[in-house]
Amino acid sequence: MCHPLVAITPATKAADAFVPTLCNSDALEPYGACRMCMVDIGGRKPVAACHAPIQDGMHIKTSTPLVDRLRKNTLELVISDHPLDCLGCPANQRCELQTVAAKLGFREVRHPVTTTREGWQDSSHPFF
Amino acid sequence: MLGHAGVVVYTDEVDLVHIGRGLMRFCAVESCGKCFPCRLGSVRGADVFDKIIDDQGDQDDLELLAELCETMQFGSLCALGGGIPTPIHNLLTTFIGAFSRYIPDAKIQNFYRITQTSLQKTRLRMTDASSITSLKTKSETAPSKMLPLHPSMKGASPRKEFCVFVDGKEIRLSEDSMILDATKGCDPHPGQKRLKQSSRTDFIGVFRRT
Repeated sequence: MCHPLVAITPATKAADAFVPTLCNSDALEPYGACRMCMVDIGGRKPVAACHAPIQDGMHIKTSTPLVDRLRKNTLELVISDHPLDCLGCPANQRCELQTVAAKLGFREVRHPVTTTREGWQDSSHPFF
Repeated sequence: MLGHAGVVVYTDEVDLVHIGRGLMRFCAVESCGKCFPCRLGSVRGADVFDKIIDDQGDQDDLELLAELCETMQFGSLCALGGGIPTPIHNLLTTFIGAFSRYIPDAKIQNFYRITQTSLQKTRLRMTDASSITSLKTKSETAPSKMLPLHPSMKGASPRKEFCVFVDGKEIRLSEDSMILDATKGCDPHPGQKRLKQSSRTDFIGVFRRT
């Protein structure tokens, strides 16, 4: 039996398991964008704990080789698109991204960053 | 397979690396931008292809591409980001020779990742059936318990206790406590008295509104 309202996250919180998130806020509905809270539930693919419905008798693994790799690589993608100006940032030392990067042992961005966010701005219409 | 449920025919003179770059670019343009692996992975994938086409790529870039494929395939929310890497995966395994024009001796040494995980899964399914049955009996021995109904909840369906296993640790949560936990810390009108939890439907309504 699965519950339509409750996600897996309360269970991982109750178990004190480390599941990083970047898009989760208590004041918002679960959105499932950052894909950092991926957990293995024994299915074909890992699922995002914040909005996958919980199921009775479910076996949740918060750390498998695949899930750990997915988290690290997704974090690398996020940081490759992030202005690395922590010293001039008001959120410095109180930053969720910094915390998650430190906890996951993030080292370096391997991606060649040639396309920046500015390059993708759609200027095809004056309204944009 | 190229694209989603589509067949595209190319001559054998076509440069498959450019096709791969076009796929990543297509995904970057078509991506709705909700989940990170698709939104960022497709742009970075096109960047890696650009680097390879500019003759500046090396073996590490191929492995990075393989890893990126895995991230998009397993991490994406929908089938757009999950399906785009499939032809790139094929490009890296079956048509790896297409890269030799840009990277001499192009081959993937560490391409164990995607294949290994899928192999592990099938192996688990094939041979390690005992562990699966033991998991099954474990969940059967810990059946969910029905909690007694609160007097104010006449007519509502009985509350249910959920039993899940997080990293092998047994966690029992009642449905109501989980909803309480989910709403903790989100007070839409601070200072005001919260809505009384007179019935479960009311409370779920509060959960939905926040």
